Amino acid sequence: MKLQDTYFKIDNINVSAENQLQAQFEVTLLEDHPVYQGHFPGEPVSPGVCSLQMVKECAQILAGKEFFIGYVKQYKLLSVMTPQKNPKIIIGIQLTEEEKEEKKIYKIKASATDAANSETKFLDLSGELTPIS
Amino acid sequence: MREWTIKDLIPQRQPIMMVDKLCSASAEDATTSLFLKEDNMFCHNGCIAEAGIIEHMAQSASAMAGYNCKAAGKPAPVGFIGEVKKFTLNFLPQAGSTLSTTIKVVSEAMGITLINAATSVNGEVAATCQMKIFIRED
Repeated sequence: MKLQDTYFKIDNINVSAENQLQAQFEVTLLEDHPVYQGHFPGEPVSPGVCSLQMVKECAQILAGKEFFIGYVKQYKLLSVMTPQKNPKIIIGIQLTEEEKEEKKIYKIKASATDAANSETKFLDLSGELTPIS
Repeated sequence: MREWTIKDLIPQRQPIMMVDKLCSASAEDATTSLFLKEDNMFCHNGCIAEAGIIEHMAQSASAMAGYNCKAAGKPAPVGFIGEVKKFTLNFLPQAGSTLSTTIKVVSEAMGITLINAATSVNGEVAATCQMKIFIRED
């Protein structure tokens, strides 16, 4: 599955000046994605797993690599997200390269907030991404 | 066990129906299955994405909650994933395979159900996790 440009679009990427593996992605949720026909009929709610995929796709752009999500330590969904109520989202991502069992992995920490109201936090993720060789 | 169609048990509809069948269910555990079609919305390069496995696990728990509500004469509830912990991926199942999932309820209180989920293909465990699900009974 690829959600970029059908489920969300990236408006801007701000990469940290100090750390090339840290960035803020300004994205817009696209309300016409077919998933909203089924999640849920007459009551569109952004599926938490689609947010996870969206974070993964942003992380892939940041690292310039394709990943598996090998491990999710914790993925918290903190408020309901809908493209109608909060179309603009800011996703913060920090990746850290590490060796694990002689393979290179990336630890990820990510969060997402409402661009219109930074007090509204949608998710918190900590886990490990494994590059697809 | 009484046969319900899956649409009676979960509120999701296409393109995001990620359980075909509730195979067994009790108050404490359940087993489900999903045949992974090539055109499943979570498939990419012939495999299901991690997000799709997690959604399948969550809907498996939802189907179980739906079954138990139906058995008590109540409508199937809407559940939201609150938290995923210790999701461990062993392999990504391929399109054309059948996912078999076991759900075990760890605890249940005040509308929050904590479950353990394990998804296998042909007896090989593809992924496991713990999940907190918020149940909203309308």
